[in-house]
Amino acid sequence: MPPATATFAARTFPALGTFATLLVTDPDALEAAHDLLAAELGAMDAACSRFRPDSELTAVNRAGGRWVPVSPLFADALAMALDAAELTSGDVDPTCGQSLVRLGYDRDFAQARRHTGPLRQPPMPAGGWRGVELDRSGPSVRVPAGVLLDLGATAKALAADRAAVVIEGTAGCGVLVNLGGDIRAAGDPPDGGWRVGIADDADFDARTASIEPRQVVVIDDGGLATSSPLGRAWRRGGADLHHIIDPSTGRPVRSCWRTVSVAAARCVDANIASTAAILRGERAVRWLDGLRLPARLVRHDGTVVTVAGWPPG
Amino acid sequence: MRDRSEFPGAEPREARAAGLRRLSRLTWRATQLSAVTAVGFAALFARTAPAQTAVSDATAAAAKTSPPAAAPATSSSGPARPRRARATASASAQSTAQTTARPTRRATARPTPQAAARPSPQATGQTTAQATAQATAGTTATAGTTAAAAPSQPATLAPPTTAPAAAPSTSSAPAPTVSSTSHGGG
Repeated sequence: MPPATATFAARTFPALGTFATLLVTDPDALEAAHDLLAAELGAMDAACSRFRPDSELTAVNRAGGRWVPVSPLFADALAMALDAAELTSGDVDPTCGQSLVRLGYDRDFAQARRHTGPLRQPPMPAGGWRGVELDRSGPSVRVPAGVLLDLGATAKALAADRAAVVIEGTAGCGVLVNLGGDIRAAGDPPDGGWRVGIADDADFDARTASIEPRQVVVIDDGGLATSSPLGRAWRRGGADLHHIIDPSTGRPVRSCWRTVSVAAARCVDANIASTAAILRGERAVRWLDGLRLPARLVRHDGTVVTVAGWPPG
Repeated sequence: MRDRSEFPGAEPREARAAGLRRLSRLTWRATQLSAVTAVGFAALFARTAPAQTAVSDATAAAAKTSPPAAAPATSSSGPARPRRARATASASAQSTAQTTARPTRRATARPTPQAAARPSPQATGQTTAQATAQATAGTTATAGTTAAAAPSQPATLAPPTTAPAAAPSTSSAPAPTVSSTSHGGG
């Protein structure tokens, strides 16, 4: 096993409607790693963007209940989203697309949040993930007519996992990929590990577009993700809305947590768990502890609960 | 014997010929109607037929179109979704194994039972890699390289190999390298 190194190179760039930060322990590998990450993000965007008219997701959503041939990448992303639904008993449901549209999140978030007028239609519950059919041998997908998929909950985390694994396998160095807070580390970390600031969106400073971390932890590998109803929030008709939807009602969930951070083997696992924890409220503590997923949960009054070995603070 | 009064003004031979023509027309129309009905039922059954009826056709199609590297992995590690007739397309042995495992996919199908039921060396290798990835929490280079070439392993909510540790709190400690926040949409 090669000795850990204290140096790393970094690059940040906009991607997937947020930012991407790439860290590699071999500075000479940064350029190639960046190209790999950009390619992965481009492919994921072309496959799973809800706002691109030419994306595969748009074609599937517009198919009116017919089977649609898809790429292996899209099939992968959909399979992961359906896994998320199954593992969380439907709490993390990829068929909340229509719910989000009804709530005004029907275009890129930067544009959607500019509209503050009243909503035109009542909330709509999720279409039902069990009705989605995926044939991985084609691959092809069939979504019931009227149901809109939204893979935003898992696709970004999956992209972080895939990119980190590919970069680590290609460059042979330690790598950390951070996609808007969805983090995946792979390979040998730098000396002392990867330092990760755990931020609370209540502290977001709109003037500087930055957040002061509440806690700093060190990870060597695996995934780490943070979910919060404060992250993507907007107002319509005087009501505060956000992007974490209760599938049974089609409304933004009212959770006792304002921020949940989870560490897991992979970023997608951490993302699924953190999103489900917001939806599960108080039950999330026991659930995360039972899964031995280290987590930090923050109540609206700022009280912090840590489980499964997450350091206090 | 018919009375001539049934066909006033017609000779018996002409009346018989007219009757035969009508009978012929009726027979032809009945045949046409049967054909249309048969086509309609065939179309209806094709849409609603159970999975077994389409396995052979679908298998042939899958063999032509599936990428060699992806095919074993998709059926071995890919989730068994609700499937209709065309959704069973895969190598027939794999299809059998998957059908057997479907009702309890999460509980029993991963990884050992499917590996036992699967004859292909590629499928076995894939499952072994999957088990390795689970055992090592997806952090080894071996598991990572396998995942890059094949579809991603299913989500498992597996914990990390090591929990996050508190960073040194001395004032000389460097700033965080990255921050985890949901502001990007998480």
